[in-house]
Amino acid sequence: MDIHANAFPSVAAGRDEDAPEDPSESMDASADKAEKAGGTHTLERALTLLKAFGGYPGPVTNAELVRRTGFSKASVSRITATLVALGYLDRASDGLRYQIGMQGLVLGHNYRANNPIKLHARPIMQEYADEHDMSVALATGDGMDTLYIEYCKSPRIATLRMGVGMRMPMELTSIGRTYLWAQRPAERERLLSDIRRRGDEKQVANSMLRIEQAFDHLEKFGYCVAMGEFQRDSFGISVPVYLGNPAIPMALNCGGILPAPSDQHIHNVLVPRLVQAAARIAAATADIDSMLI
Amino acid sequence: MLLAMKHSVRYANRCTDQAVSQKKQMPKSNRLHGTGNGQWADVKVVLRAPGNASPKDAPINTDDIIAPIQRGLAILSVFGPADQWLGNQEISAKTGIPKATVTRLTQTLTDQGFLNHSTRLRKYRLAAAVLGLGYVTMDNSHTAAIARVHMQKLADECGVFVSLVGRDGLDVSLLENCHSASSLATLGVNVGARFPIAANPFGLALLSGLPLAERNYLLDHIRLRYQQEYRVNLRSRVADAVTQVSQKGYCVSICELGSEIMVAAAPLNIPDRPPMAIGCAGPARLITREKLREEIGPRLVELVNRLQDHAGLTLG
Repeated sequence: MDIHANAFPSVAAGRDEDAPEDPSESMDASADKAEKAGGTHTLERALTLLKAFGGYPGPVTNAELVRRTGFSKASVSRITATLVALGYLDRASDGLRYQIGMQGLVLGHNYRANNPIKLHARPIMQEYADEHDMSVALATGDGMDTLYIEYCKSPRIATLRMGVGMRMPMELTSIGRTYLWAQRPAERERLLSDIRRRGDEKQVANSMLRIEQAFDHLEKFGYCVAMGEFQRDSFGISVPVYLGNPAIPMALNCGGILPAPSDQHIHNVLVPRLVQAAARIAAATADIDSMLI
Repeated sequence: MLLAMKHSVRYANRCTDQAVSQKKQMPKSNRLHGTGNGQWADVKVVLRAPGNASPKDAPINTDDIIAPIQRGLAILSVFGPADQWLGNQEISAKTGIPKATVTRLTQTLTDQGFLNHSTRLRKYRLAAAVLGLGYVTMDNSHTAAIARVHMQKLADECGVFVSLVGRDGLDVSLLENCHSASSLATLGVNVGARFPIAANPFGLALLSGLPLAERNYLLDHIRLRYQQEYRVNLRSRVADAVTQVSQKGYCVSICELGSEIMVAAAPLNIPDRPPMAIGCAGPARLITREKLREEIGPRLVELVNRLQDHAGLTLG
């Protein structure tokens, strides 16, 4: 999945001070840290490595994992070995690359089995998807990324390889920028300052410009659009949505393959109906304890 | 028809290229295809190198497992669909991890968004970030990729050739193949190969897993492909497979595919996915009826159940 592989920003060197280049040093350092933090540091690295697959089932090389996580080659090898043994990763059929294993599916299933979103938001999203022949996603934040926690698509649209569990860098998609916009000011500032440190200068400048434009548009019209950015040939239209009590700000999008509908159709039909869907989701979940979402 | 079976690994390695080129040159009439009587005309078992066993395939030493990772993930996985809220004490009891360690790890997992903590209940539950740990969306090829690891294990441990097939019109097409590291058995067919659905045990297993109405609909169309005298035979073969699948979860084919090949095949039905089937084949010389019934069949059913339980989870 090369398109996506390129889209995953690599971690800037030096951001992860815990990943020394020398493998022996890395062993000592992690052992030392593990000692101090009771192993939580190592656990965090393993979870970060699993997240680096981005929710895509395709196989990934160790070198690509090194690039995406910023960890040393030696620690990626040791962590992947453990994750394979525990069933969270499998070796791909070439024996060299790794792919998501079954245990992660089970965790996700157990989460979704008890989650009210499936019950309350999904039918509203599916209705929109069917009506407009689009895909509809609900995303929350996870670190500096957005994570799809619900996804519906019209049976009539060409297969976009998207779904629940997909994660995308927050600054690169309309749903991510809308998520940022919907956050309380303090949280938004914290996220923005993290995002400013991701990628090189040029990328950051570009991301910040796009975020600014999206915020302007959200301010004026209540939605924002991205075309052919994260996924080259698709577009997304996003609006904020508030779920549960107390309300958790998230983002809702609809999308499809380019060419995009006309501006007029977006402005007069798709957006008003999406805003309506967001309001219905908010109403349907208004009495649900946010802790359950 | 078993053409050649050699157990000298070195010999096999040397001959693989030759065997492959022979396979390519095989006259078309000699390749697998269905015939009027619902059997495969000819089955080649060709030489191949056993697995691509590299040091990377060596089993992982349990000493290499990093304990804090194992413990953290063990904590996340104690939350079953039924256990919505768990406290540190309960987690410790269920996982056997000391309570002080559990307390530290649940704190980290909560900070990272994998658990929600209720101060009122003083308990935890799974949170949205766990969806980022491998809740992937799969299409058929991904189902095949995930199935492959488990199919390969079955192939290696039972010394059989394992195939995953899907329906393509009135044919079945091979989605994934696994050769055994311990045996040279193969059907000599590649992924993408197609066979008439009712002419082989894989297809019969697939048909057996379909709802009655859909099976009858397909059979009505399949019948038209066969001459009158074989149509009765077709019905009874399908009925036999259906009975076997309903009793044991799989059906067997004893020396039907060529004179010396034993097959066990089971339907694989993942919700919202097209129907599929998995089958194991091996030479009668090595796979006795007892082995087929007592070892391979139950292992196959276990594999299918595992895939249905787990791969199907992403839908719902």
